[in-house]
Amino acid sequence: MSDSATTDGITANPPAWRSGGRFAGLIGESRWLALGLAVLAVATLNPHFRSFDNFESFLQSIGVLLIAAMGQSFVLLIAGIDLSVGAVVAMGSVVLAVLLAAGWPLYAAIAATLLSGLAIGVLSGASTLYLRIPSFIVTFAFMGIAYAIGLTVADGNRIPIAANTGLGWLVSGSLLGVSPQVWLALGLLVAGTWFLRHSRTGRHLYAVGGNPEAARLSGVPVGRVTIAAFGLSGLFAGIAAVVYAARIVSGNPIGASNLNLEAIAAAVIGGVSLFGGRGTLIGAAFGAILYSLIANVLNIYNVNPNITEIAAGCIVVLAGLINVLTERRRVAA
Amino acid sequence: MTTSPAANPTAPKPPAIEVRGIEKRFVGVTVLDGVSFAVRAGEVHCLCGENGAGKSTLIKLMAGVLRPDGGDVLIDGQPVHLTSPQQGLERGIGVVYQELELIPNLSIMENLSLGREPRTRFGAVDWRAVRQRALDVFKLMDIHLAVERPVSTLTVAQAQLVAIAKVLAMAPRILVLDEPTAALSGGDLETLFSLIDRLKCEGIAIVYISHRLEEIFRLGDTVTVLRDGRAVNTAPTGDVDENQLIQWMVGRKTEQRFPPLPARTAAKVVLSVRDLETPTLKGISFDLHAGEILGCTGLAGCGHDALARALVGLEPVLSGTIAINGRPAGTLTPRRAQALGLSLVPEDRKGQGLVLGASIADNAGYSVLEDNARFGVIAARRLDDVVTRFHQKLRIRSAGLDQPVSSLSGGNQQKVVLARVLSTDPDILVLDEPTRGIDVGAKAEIYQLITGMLAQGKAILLISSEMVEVMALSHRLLVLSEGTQAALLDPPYSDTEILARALPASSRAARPAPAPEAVN
Repeated sequence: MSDSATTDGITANPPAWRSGGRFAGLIGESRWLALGLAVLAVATLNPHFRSFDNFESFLQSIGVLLIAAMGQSFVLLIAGIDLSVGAVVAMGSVVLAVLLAAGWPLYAAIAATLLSGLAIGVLSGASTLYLRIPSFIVTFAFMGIAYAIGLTVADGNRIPIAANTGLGWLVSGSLLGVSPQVWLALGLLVAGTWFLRHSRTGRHLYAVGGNPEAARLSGVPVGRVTIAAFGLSGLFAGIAAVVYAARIVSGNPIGASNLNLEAIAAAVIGGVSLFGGRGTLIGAAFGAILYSLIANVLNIYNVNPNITEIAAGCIVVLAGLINVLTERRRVAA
Repeated sequence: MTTSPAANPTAPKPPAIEVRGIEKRFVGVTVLDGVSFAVRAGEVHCLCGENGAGKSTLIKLMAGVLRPDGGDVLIDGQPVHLTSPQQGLERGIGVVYQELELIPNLSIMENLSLGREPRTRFGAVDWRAVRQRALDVFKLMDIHLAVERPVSTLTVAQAQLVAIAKVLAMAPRILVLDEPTAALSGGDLETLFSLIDRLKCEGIAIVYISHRLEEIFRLGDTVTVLRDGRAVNTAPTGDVDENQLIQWMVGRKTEQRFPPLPARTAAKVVLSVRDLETPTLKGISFDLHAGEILGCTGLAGCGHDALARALVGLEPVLSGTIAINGRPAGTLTPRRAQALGLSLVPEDRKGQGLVLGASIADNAGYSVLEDNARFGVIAARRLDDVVTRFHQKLRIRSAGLDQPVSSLSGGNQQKVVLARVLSTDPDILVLDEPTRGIDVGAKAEIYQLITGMLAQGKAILLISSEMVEVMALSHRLLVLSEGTQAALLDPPYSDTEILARALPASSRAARPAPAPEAVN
């Protein structure tokens, strides 16, 4: 086909790779952005919130959730769910603390932590794929396994991390004036977004979530895509584990127990569909920030943190409801 | 092996694709039993047969989705052993499946390249090339749609064309189309037909599957009829006529398709609808009498399915009244409608009518569990009796009451739904597209069951978009057009009049009454 032939009749349309993909996600999240600004406005009325200390502690606290929510999104996109995220973070923090205590160099210990997360993710993916067990059951089981591994390795104790390992810098240090873990989360956001928009496997996540049978018949390697999604979730949970360990300066085998709920809440608030095939990492990141803001505000007003968790649960149900309603409208249309 | 055509130019070219004695069994059930046929380049070969004849399985074997248990698939005379759809594609076999294999939330252009996305040297998807590929194939097909539109925004007809475009983008030498016209009408149909003519001229071998016999004669060079997993006959389309084809398909002398309609007897009104208004319907008023069949038809989107839903409370009633057996229905639910004596046989048999994994006995019994239970414990024997009675009465062909309904043919599945509905002994049956997607033989049986119900004084609202069906089976005929009641006709009906009434008001004024052949 000649070049001149191709523009006939369709010249009126903007180039797809600009109009379709790149900014659609951002525009789609504008409602959340607006909501976030509103919360921010309410929050700034409180002098404590505006204080630099609070802002710094807010930034320090947000990395784990940001990274975990992005990881969760990969699995949600293929219409699965990963309930092992919190457990993998706890297990990872123990792995890291134990290896550092054993005298491993920092980078080797971090690499091992990431690998442990990746391994759990790949095993979850392989189990849903080959044993055809729904992901919520598989990852529920791996949640128990990961906690048990952490408890076994740590012998039930919290393992402190010595200050001279240098891990603490990740959270309490400063890079261009900001806590380095924020840069880490930002880097993962950029890389993950590029992956989802421009890599074959990234696009295939959407296809598998949208219509797995059609994807299979189109020649999409559904198996590889499934394992990639769970593997990425596990890897991101491993990264979150490193940040978590740096924040609490220890390995905690029963830590991060609310993270599952929070990560799912954040992703769903950010517009990632519980039914797969729809959502962006930017959305999930917005969701994580918004969720943390709400929690922070409640904290400033001295609300019992356990009640914050009730709010998180309600948010998941509410966001899920909105999700179901939009999906229903879409089907009806 | 014969010598290759290159070495011996006088030898006839082997067919582009051929299946030889192909066999396929699923858990002991033989689905295909020694089917053979061949398609040459530039030939349109039609496959037809009743539902369950094995057509879908056959094309999946040709595409490499399934593997045969016996026999061979040959491409250009060479046997091939395909183990995945990708391998089929590499060999040039493109299949447009009946269930459109599209991803709703991705754009058209991305769907067209799915699974074989061009990449830049950095490994990213090359969006420029993706778009170019889509524009190229749209130009070839003469489709005018913005390639960046998400597939979810398309109409079914547009999506059908995109599904075909997706396969054509792979430049197949062998194109298999499975009921491509099911969702098309009018201009789209012509677009598709002329495209097929062009592809044929370009030397593509086409396998065309359709229930619409007139299309087989319009497009096909050769037709192969499948019945019960065997290829019963292959003939040039010029040598056969419709009756011959139907006879091959059903394998018995075609009885008259429609049973005689018994005369109306009782005059008691059992269902009375007045000025019904719902989000999609307006100004619907009619009475339905015991022992009467009221037909209801119209063009796609005219709202006849909404009427069925409104009568059991699945569509909100904004104004107007529905009275069942003389009692105002109030706010309806399917359960309340059933209690008042009205039951629905829904349009979507598999999605709404059946629990597919459950047995015939379970499905037939669901509506009467409460009537056959004591203190919440099911009286198994009593329920068995009920189910067995209807199983025999409706002549459901199965290995037994415990057979899962998912393994039944469409016609027998529909009978299971009818059994469940009839077990509640309703006075009024609302049948929404009762013969959709079931084969000729089973249709005739369903028709007989419907007219048979009249003798028991049942009243039937027969909703169908098949005009011949409602014309033959209705004492009176309600025609809907754009959600409004266009006419309530008495026999004898003329298809021209029905169509003229069913057309939207704007186009009715603009054009004369359409020719009768448009009705088919």
